[in-house]
Amino acid sequence: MKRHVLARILALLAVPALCVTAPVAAHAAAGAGTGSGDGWIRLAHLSPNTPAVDVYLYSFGDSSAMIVLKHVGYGDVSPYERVASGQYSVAMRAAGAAATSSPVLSTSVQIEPGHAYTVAGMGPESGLRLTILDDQLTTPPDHALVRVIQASLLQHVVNVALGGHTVAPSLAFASVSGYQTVAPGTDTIRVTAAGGDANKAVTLAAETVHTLVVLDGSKGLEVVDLEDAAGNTSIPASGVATGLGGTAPQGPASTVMWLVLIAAGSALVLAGATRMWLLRRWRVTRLTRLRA
Amino acid sequence: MAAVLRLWWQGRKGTGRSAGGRQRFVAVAAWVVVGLATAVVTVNVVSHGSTAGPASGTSHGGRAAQSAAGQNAGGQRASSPSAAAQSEMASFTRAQVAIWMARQVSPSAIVACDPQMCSALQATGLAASRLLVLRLSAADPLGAEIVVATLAVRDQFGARLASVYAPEVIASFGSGPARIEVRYVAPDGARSFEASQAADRGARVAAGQQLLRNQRIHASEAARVALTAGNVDPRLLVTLAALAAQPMPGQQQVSVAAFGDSSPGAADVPLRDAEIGAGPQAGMQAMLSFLLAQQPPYQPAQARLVRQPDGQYLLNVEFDAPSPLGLNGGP
Repeated sequence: MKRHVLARILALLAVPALCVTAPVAAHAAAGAGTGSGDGWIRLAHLSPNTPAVDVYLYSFGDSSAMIVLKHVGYGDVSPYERVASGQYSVAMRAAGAAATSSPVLSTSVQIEPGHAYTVAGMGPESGLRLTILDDQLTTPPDHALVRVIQASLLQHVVNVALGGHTVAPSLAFASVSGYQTVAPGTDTIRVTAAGGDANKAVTLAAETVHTLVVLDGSKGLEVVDLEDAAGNTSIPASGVATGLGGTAPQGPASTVMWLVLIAAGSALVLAGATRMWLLRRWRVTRLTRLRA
Repeated sequence: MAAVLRLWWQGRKGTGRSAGGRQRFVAVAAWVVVGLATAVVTVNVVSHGSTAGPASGTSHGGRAAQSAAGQNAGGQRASSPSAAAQSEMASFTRAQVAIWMARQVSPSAIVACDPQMCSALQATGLAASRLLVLRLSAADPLGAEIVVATLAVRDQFGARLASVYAPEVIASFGSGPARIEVRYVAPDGARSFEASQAADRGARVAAGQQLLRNQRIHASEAARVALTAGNVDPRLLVTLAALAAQPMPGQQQVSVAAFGDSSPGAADVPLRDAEIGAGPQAGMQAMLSFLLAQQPPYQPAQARLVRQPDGQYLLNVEFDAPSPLGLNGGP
């Protein structure tokens, strides 16, 4: 009886154990295949009149390391995904397209160790292109960095100022400004265009990197502040603090998160199995006593 | 003529996709060009004393034909059978170039050429709007993506053609004065092009090595050598990585049998075609469907399945020229 119960427990534990080893092994294999160090990548849909898409990243060195983001709509920016450094093909497919339809290759990106990238779908639908932006993660001491992505089709050219300081003059649709070093503090972003304005208060802490995205909103121009990195740690800020969302990854992004989740799951299973075993043992003892 | 027949036959073979109409048109147009060239040659040979080109002294085309017919620039008469033979060779080479261009060059590329060459290209189906005719007054071939360097064009731009404007030969036909080179025009100059080319080769080497580590990709020894050396077109590399990640019925791996060269006479251009398989029809058909769904720059010029004697299928895929730079790079 004891042997039977132990076998059950071992079988129950085998599943989470596999779950632990498989992703770790896959991650290790991917890492081993591409040299030391990982990089970071996120995806952004910034084409106002392009319907939502599913985005696929195919690793050159490891087909199992494919990343899929479903139903990415205009204005959506995914959290950064940690990926093994190396080359990736990027493809897209209309969201909701038949499973048998093929994704269309759009670009490829070389992920360097310790670097972060934004793959942004930009331009009008008729001229949609995926642009690869090299995201900066560190700042000069006691300063912040700001850049602007102009993704408004309604206002083809905008001027963006932070306080009284212009950070992106005459920025055309589907273009990106360079990074500007600014003093930390709370200030107002002022976007002006021929057909409308937008203002937004932002707090730029020291040693943070921000991407300001100018979008077409339901009531005119909108500005979104993405905090890309903080603390000069060479690790980008996880997730998007602006509520753009919509592109939640298929699971936790980092290996640590996987391990924590799997360990918690294993503990739950172990606790459940132990409880079952104790209950059964108690019942058997009780039955034996009653019979006696 | 055997070469023309071979090219025509290749044209017939390569009609496996939606571009089939274009291929048939090219094949027919090629025959028209060859026929016209033969007629011109016949007239030349019979008359033995007539001028070598139809527009001698008035255009580059005339100059080219005259030069090819024994360097008789200045309107002198071609008075020997060897001059006629050289003229025939020049016409034949133009026809070869025209056929190759129609089959191999990107349908969006602007092509600079002398008037005679432009006529031959137009006869094979290249739209006039894609041709930049190089008159005597043309200072450079800039504005085009490709320049067809006949003797007349080489004479016109001299050493600057290769050293400044168009450093890369993507195909070459014929020999001697009749030699015609198809060159890629570097919009930012030769020096910038060479730097980009070196960076691109490095990126192709890295990408090729990563593909070789992919357990879903199997490469023959020859294919491994090409991948390791960075000799494979970046569009093929990107496509192979994506193909390996697709679910393919009955297919565990993408097996690359060979990479091919569709650029005669060009020493250092990436290999633009590949032979994938063999495998069962369902898996290979899935790969073909993936390829045919692509858009430029990843849309192949040709993709088709070839049934093997053992019932397996091979997938032939070919991209057009020139190979783009920077596709495997970073931001």
